[in-house]
Amino acid sequence: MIELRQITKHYPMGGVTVRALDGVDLDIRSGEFLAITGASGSGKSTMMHLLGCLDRPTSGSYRLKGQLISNYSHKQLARLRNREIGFVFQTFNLIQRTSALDNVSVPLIYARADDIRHPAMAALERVGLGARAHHRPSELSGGERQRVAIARAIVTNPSIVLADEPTGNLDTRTGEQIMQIFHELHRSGVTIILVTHEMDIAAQAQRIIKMRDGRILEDTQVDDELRSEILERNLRVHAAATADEVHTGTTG
Amino acid sequence: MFFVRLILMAFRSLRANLLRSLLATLGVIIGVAAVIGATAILQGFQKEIRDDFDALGANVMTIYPTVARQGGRPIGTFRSLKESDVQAIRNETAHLQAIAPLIQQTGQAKYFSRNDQVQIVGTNHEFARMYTINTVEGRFLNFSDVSGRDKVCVLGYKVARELFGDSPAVGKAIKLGITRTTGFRVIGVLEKKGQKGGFGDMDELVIVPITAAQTTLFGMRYIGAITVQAEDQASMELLTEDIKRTLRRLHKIRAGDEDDFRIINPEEIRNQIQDFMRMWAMVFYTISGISLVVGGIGIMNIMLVSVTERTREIGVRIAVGARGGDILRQFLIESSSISFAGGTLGVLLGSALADMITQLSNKLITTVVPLSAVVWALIMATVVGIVSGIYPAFKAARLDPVEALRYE
Repeated sequence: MIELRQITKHYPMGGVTVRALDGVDLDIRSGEFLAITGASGSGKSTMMHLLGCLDRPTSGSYRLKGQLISNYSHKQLARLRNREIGFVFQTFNLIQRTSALDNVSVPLIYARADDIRHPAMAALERVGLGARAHHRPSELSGGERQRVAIARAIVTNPSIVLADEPTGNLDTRTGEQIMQIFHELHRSGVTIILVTHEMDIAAQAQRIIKMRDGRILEDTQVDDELRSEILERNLRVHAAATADEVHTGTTG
Repeated sequence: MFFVRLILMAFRSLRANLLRSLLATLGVIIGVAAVIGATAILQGFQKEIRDDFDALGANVMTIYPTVARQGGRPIGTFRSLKESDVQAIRNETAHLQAIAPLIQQTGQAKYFSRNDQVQIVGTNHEFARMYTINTVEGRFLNFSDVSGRDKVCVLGYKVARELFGDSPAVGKAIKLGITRTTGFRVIGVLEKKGQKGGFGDMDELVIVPITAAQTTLFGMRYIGAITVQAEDQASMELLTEDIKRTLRRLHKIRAGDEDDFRIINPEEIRNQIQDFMRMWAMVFYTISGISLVVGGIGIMNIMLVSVTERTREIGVRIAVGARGGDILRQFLIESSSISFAGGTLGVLLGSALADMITQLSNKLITTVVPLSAVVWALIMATVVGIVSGIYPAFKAARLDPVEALRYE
C-alpha cells in the first residue's frame, strides 16, 4: 500500500538545516492500523504530512498503491489527497460559519461530484451525527465536532485515514468514543494511521512506529500481551507523574 | 455545477462578514452612484434638448440679418433680408429642400367679442413641409395664397379653441393685427403640437401669407428671417456655403468685409451643448473612476484580511483536495461578488439621487437612468472586484498547506 524508501526531509531554519526526516524506510500494508509515536521534534508530524501528500520529500521515493508519487505535481497530489486520503486533526479544523453537512461536503465539491448531499449525509450517519447535520460547529460538543471531521475525512471513501492527535483535545471518555469510530473504520478495511504521543491511544493500534530524531527507532507489532503490558506501564508512569505533581506542586 | 457550488460557497463566506464586506465596497458604491447619477442627469438633459431641437425641424437652418460693422461702427441695418434673397437662394443653390421667409410679431386675433393674444407668423406654403405641420381642419397656405397676397390665415390649435370653441373655424372671418386689425379668413386649423419650437408655443400661432403680412399687417418690405431646409444632414454645409456666396453677392459685400447675415444651424448649437455636456460627463467619470480605484483598494484590503483570517480554512481545503486553481477561483468569486453587490447598491443610490434631483427641482430637471449605464456600471464594478481580488487570491492559492494548517 505505502512504500517509503530512504525518505529525507530537510528544512532550512535560521541558516541551519533541520533534518526532520533522516532516511526513513517504511512499508504499510493495506488495512493496517498503525500508530506513529514520538516526542515533539521526533519527525512524526513531518512524517504525517509526507504520508498525507501535503508535502514532498527532499529525497527518497514514496510509492502509494504502486504509484511513485514523490514527484507528482501539486495538481496530481491534490487529486490524490481528495480520493485516497482523509485527514483528521487535533483541533478539528471545521469551517465555523457553515453547517456540519456543509463541512462534510467540502471534499466532494473539490471532487466535482454530481451528488454531494446524499454521500455527505451518509458519512454523517456513519459517525452517528445524522440528527445534527444542520448544526454549526459552535453548536456541537468537542466529540461531535471530531466526528464531523471524521465524516469529512471518509466522505470520498479514501483508502487511508490519517489522524493527527485526534483525541488530544478531548476528555478520556469522548476520546475513547472517537477511537471506537476508528476501530469501526479499520474493520471496514480502511488503513488507519494515527499520530499520537499518548501511549494508551497508540496501544490500540496493530503496530506502533516509534520515532526519534527523524528516524524510526522501533517498529513493534502489538499483540494482546504487549497491549496490556503497555497499558500497565502507562498506568504506572501516570501514577508516578501524579505522585510527582503532589510532591512538587506542579500541575504539569 | 462545480462553478455554481463555488459561487454558493463564496456567498456563504460573504454573508458571515456582510457589514465588513459592504463597508469595504464603499468606494465602489460611491463611484457607481456618481456614474449613474451623472449619466441620469446628462441623459435627461440631452433628451430635453433633443425634443426641443426636433421641434425645430430636421436639417433646417435659419438665416438672420445682422448689423454689419466696420471698425466697430454699425454700417448696415437689421433690414438686410428681402424677398429677392429668397428667390436668389431658391434659384442659385443646390441641395435645397424647402425655403420659407418669416416675419413674426406678437399681435391679437379677434372674433366678435372673443380676443386672444397670438404670435402672428408671415411665411409661405413651404413652411408646413419644413416643420411637418398638419391641419386638423381645412388646409395650410398654398402658393396662390402667397402670390395673391390673400388675407387668409391658419390658426394654431389653441387659438382656434379660444376663438371658436368646438365649432368649426374654417370659412370664418377674424380680425388680426398688432394695433389696428384687418379682416382675415380662416382657411385651416393646425393639429395640436403641445411643444415649443423656435416660434414659441406652436399652438398659439396664427400663420398668414408673408405677402399679406408685409403689406397689410406689419407694413414692411423686408423680412425677419429665412428658414431653409437641406436635402439631408450631409448637404447642410454645402448649402450654407452656397447661401453665403449668393447673399454676399446680392448684398454687394466686398471681400474681407463681414456678412450682414448669420446662418444659424441648430445642429451646431446642439453639438456645442453636447460638447459641453460631454466635458461635464468626463469630470463625473473621472471622479467615479477615482472612487472605483479607491473601492478596489478597499476590496483588496478586505480580501487580504480575509485570506489571513482563513489561513487554516484554506489549509484544510487544500488538504481535502482543493487545487490551487480552486482556491484562486473561490477568492476571485468572493471579491467580484462583493464588488458587484457594491455596484448594485451604487446603482440604487444613484437612481435614488437622480430621482431626488428631479423632485427637488420640481421636475425642471428630468432624469433618465439608461439601462446601458446600469449594465456598464455593474460590469465595471465586477471588473474592479476581479482585479483587486487577484493578488489576495494568488496569495491564498499558493499557501503551503503544512504551514497553513499550523497557522494560529
